[in-house]
Amino acid sequence: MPPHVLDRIALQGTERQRRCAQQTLQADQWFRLRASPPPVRDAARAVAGRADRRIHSADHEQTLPGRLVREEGQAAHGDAAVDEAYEWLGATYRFYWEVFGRDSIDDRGMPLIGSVHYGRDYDNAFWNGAQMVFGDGDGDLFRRFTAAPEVVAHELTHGVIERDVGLIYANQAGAINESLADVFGVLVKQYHTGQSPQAADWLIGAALLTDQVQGRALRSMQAPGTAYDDPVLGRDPQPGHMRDFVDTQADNGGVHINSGIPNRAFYLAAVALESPAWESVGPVWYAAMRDAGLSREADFAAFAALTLDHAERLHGLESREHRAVDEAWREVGVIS
Amino acid sequence: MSDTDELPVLSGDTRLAVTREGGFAYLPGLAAPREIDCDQLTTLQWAHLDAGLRSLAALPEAERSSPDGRFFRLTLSSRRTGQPHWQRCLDEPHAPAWLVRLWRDGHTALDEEASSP
Repeated sequence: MPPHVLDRIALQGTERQRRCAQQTLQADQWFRLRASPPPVRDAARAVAGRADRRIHSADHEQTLPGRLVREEGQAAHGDAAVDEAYEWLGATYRFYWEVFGRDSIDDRGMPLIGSVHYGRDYDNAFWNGAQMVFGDGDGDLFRRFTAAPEVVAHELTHGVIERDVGLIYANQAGAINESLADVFGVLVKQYHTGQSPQAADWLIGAALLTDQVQGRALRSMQAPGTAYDDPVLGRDPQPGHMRDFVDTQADNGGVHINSGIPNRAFYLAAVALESPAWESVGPVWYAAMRDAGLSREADFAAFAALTLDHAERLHGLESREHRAVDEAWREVGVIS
Repeated sequence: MSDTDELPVLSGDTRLAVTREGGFAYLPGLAAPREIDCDQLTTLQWAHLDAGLRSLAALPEAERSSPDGRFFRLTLSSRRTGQPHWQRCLDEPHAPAWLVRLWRDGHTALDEEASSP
């Protein structure tokens, strides 16, 4: 069925029709995305354990990838956005390699392609199926999107999720997708700085907001719903518990809204343990994400069950880690 | 809603809602639709809107597949009944400049031709 017809159903059909149409639309989009060829590894240059970064400048246009400005091993360019993208993509590659033995997005040395200076006053960053894209921000509300390591790592992780799981980008599956990108985003930052879970701020995008915004960040994994309350941006809409789950068609079914629930579950499990989060519950979440039993339409409960399964496998039944994960999902109301 | 892709004839009862959706975060303050009531438009603005909407037929429907990617949703509805009768979604990279201006600035953006950069 063509997307425009599905769109009509998604807008006007019965509740069941709307749900089915939306799921079909997302599946269709996923298959189309998967059909696009990913960047291929340069066999002559790629070495497992060494990133292959290629940073481009879109020169304020919206054509990708733009002009190649810094490749792997080259000295700092002097352009802050170029050098931040290079540094944080490198930090993210190192995290995945050193913690999980993963060789880039596809675990086969895929080049890390990033474009900065995308568009004019562009307030966004995204993964387009082949590369990461970063705007400079408008300067009034947002600074450049390369300023925050967890944001750069978030976008690269969308590529990892796409390759490993292909979680549908809508509803609870989409919120798991978003949450995983946040989880590994903050883990990259904590690993890079050597932070304990107790010392970390658990904020997403704190460095992006200008002084004119009344807020600390775009999301708080510790306290979803408290990141900002601003006359222009509005109030952080994230819930931290299933009783406050937001049923909406906006935001692809609330993918950036309801991700607050699994985000908080990860935070609670991490801070219940003293060891670094990338050693305790990070590997549990990573194993759950890669589990063949995680369906593309997974809901929070299904993902929680997988984390419990892997907490037991990695740390033992009734281990401190297993109990921390169990209690975290209970505290956010996903399991009872 | 119309059973065809054909753009309905704009009337004094027509309301256009333009929303920009997606992005790295959901920001409620920026999520409200820009609403354009046709009966509030000048003759020139009306003509520019009609031409602009017709030009969208040549553009691809949004795939909405890029995590954190943005897209524009345009909905024509009846002000009297609230019933939507036409909708298009365009991925942000495919959105023409006039549409971005319309979303950002409102109906005054229609003082310029839809084809102007």
